Amino acid sequence: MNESEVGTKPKLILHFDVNETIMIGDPAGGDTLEDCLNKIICKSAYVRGKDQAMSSSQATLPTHWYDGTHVSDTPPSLYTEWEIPDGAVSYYRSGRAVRRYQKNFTEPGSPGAAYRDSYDEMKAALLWPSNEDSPPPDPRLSHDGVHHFLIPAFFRTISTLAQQGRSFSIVIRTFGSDADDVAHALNAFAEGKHLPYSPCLR
Amino acid sequence: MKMNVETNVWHGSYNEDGVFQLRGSGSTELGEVEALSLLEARDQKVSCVVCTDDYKWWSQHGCHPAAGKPVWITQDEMTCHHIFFDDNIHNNTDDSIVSVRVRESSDQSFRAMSGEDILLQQGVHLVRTPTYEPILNPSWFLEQIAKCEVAYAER
Repeated sequence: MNESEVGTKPKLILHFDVNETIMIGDPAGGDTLEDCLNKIICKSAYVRGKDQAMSSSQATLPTHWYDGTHVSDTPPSLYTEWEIPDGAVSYYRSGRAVRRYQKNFTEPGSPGAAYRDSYDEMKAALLWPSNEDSPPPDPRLSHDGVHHFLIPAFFRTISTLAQQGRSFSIVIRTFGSDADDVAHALNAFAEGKHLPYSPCLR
Repeated sequence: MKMNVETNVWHGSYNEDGVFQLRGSGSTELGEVEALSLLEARDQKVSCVVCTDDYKWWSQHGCHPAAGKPVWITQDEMTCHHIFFDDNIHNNTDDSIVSVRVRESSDQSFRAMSGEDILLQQGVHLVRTPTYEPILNPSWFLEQIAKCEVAYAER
């Protein structure tokens, strides 16, 4: 993007929810990293049925994935589009009966066990990069010293927009008790502690 | 480029009449227009603000989008483009988490859009975030921003 293009674009005001949008794992809210990864997959696994998230009915488990495959067979790929397929609903919102599986959806014996590779792939992507020469992560950016507190895509967004010379505001929006922790992480980022994404802000 | 991070957390809430306000440390309290000015920070190139939102109000209103976390559109100006990323934005007129508040021009008051009109803001001002995508694709937010900018320019 060249300077004239940057100069003509509106200022971006980017609002980011925290829990399960940029932060994976919410111990204060009762969800471990593993719980959240299972919930994320459960929300993108679609089955035949109606949205029952606001009701207490539907006491039985879904029987078919949204493409018609029986739930005991290999499921279709995770579905992440905006338009919901006709007659489909995410497993997560398909009724009261599924609640016991939301946080362990991909565990062996659970309905989403066939999606375990996706779970593993996401968990690996959240590992803080390390080798023998690298210093430990700033504790504001990795609370357990192993995983990212906030997902790398969030920091890449800030870093790339800054490199492009864009004018933008980041607005963190949360219902939770994580606001201070997110502010601390952003300060660490602004101090250059999140390589390779921070230096452009120095 | 330096990023200014506002270290004080702001607390957003609706009062009994459904008017949005933002409280800071001490007795600082901003009305909706002042709050918007703080978040847009037009005098800064890059800025960052952390806000809490009013879960109680949203829950008391049955998770209706009009009672959710507010985002703003002023229809006769395009100097600021608001985009809201949230995993709980749903393709549902009665159950979603972001309230789009609109006014025709800056001398008017904001009003909440209907659930139907809020759905039309997906891909322009709202981006439902299936978190599986940005976890595995670090450029996913940037790609969505680019799509939103194209859609916004075409309005």
